[in-house]
Amino acid sequence: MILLPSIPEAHALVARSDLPIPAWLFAWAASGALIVSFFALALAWRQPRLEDEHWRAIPSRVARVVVSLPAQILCGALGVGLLGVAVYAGLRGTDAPERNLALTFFFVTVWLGFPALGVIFGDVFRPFNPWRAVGRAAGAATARLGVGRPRSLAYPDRLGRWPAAVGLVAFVWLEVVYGVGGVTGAGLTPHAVAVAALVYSAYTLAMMALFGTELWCDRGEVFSVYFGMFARLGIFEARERTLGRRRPLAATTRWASVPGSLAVVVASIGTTSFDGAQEGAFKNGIEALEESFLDAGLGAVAALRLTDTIFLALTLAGVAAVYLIGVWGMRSIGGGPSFAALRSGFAHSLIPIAFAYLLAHYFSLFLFQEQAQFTYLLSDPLGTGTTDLFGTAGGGIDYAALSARAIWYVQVGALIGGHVLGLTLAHDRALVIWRDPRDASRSQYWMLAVMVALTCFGLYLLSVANR
Amino acid sequence: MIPLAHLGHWSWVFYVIPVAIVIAGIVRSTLEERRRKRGGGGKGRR
Repeated sequence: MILLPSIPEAHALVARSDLPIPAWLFAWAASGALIVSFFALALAWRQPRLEDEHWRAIPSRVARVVVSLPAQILCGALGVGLLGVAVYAGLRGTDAPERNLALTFFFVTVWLGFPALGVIFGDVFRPFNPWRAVGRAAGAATARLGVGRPRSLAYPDRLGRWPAAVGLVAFVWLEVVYGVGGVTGAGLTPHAVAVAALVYSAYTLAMMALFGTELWCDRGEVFSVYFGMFARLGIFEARERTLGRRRPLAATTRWASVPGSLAVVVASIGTTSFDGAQEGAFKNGIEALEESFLDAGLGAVAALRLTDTIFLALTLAGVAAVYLIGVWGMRSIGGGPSFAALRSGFAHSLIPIAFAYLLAHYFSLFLFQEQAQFTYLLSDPLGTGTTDLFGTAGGGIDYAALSARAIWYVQVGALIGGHVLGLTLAHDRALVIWRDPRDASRSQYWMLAVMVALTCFGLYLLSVANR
Repeated sequence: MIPLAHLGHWSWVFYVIPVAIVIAGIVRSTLEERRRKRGGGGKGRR
């Protein structure tokens, strides 16, 4: 999130000296908590409980209103309107990133807000998705006009969610690699973000026209897939205009059966890790490689972006490798399915970890930057200083609203909680596969190592960020 | 002279220790299990 220069340290731990014990001791305590959880699961969780979602309709008037057609149309229109405002702000507003609504809206409010809302309230993005709204409106209009609706192309099954995974990496690349050029005067401007949003809108609408709106939202539309993934952790889900409640976590168990789903969740963890490590853990390595590219005659911006791209790719590969080691370890237990089946069969256990990484890394940034979003950016979206729509243009960010110690405890809590939930999901799936609780627990030894490694890695990244 | 100023660069070691302990435990337990099976004391593969 380096493109928000007004808060360079907001998402990092800035005062570790406040802590009663060294930061690394938290990693030891977190590892202990995971080991205790692992053995508690082995002893007490002896039947699969999460394969059935137990979805039940909520018999309430409010629930019916929330998913009614007028509410859907209203939400869709709001989504289209907000996208339009953000694009307009990017195209016509100031180039100062911290004063223009576009960057904060796309990279903080939407990108970080919807995962949290999804976990709490269900897939909130779905009704607000502007491209889905346009696609559905176009479909309804052609049906009403009696125009023969063209048949959608058959979507290749093997492609699965790979378009979303690639799009997710591209989105984060735009933000943390392309945008990092800001320090050398070629960073991500609100204008560039607005143009990218327009290009993505054209691409998405074209894909929806080719393959169908709902199918593209489920497989290829980056934001639908990404936010929908996190929404599966929560208890609310609308089915055919009926709002219902289900067991927490249970909806994740079917999510990863589509090819490319593992790539999406690995991309989520990997990109967040890279963003955290870029200015901290990887800083020396990035500087050394960049130096060698400069010596080879590359320009400053190109050298920096190439270096960051390589480190981003290495981070993604590293996260994938750690997960695959965990899966490989399960093969030591006989009677299980193939490596490929295990690889996709346990991918959903990474979803709570992806959310934990997101929460730990961006929690403080979100809280601070949303103060800007709902004060001066909302009243003066172009950042030109000429409008004050809601009388809040003079507002600012109160950095004292959250202490460094509070941020650190939220980060540690998020990482421990996310990994314990990941262990739970993996254990539950192991019981489905191996049935014998003892075999199931033994199969998860290496997944325990994966969880401990990801927890310690996450805490290390946070502890050295912006040192 | 101990370069104390550079100690911060080695802080990652403290974060690797729990991972190493868990991996060592897993390897030990896996080897024991194999030895037990080879000795005929295990319940064998299903």
